[in-house]
Amino acid sequence: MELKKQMKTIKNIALAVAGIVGAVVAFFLFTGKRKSNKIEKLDQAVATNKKHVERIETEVKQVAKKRKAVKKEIAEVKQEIAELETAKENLTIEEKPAEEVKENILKQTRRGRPKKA
Amino acid sequence: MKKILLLSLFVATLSYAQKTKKVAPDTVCFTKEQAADISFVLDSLWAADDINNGLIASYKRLAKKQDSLIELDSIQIVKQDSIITYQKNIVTDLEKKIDLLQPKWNDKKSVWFGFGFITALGSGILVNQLIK
Repeated sequence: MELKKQMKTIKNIALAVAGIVGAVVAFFLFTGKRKSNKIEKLDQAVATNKKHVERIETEVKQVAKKRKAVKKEIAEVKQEIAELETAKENLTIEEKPAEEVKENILKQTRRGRPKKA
Repeated sequence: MKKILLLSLFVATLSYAQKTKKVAPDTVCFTKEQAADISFVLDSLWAADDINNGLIASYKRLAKKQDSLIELDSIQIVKQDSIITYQKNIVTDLEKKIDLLQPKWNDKKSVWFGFGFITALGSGILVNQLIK
């Protein structure tokens, strides 16, 4: 009778130990799974952000290309302006011979006038 | 009669001559030198005008180009800002990942060894009890 009682107690203790071990293992498995899920989500977020960055970087490159072209155009226009300024400074006018003077005056004064209908 | 006719003809001729030689009241006469100067000044003014018109057109084009450059710079700044935001997000996520991947107390081998030792000891005691 006492042996049966002892056996029962031992069985209970064995079950308790097995339960504790199972609970501990289950706890660590659960935590590990949760952790890996979190890591997976973070990896996905990083990948999405990287894609965004790559897309925007391509756009930035295009903008930089356009900017370079515009800068080149600006340099050309500045060069043109410098040439015109130099031309303005070094403006030389040929004096017309006496026989062409009258014709020249008439031509030049009519130049700016609006044409009569 | 003949005298009167001759006199009137003479008067008519004189008046005609006066009319043809008369200078129009709004006409101004210049010397050759003055006319040459006027011609020269006119030429200079027109040449300067042409250059100035060219300069105005060039400056207008320059202003337009500068405007488009400003616009492109603004676009670039906005895009760079968004890149910085995304990069910051990436850094935050990676920091979180690093935190998660850091070894915790239960990742130590000694803990698992101790746990296994206790389990084995408990099992041994139980078996011993059973044998007794």
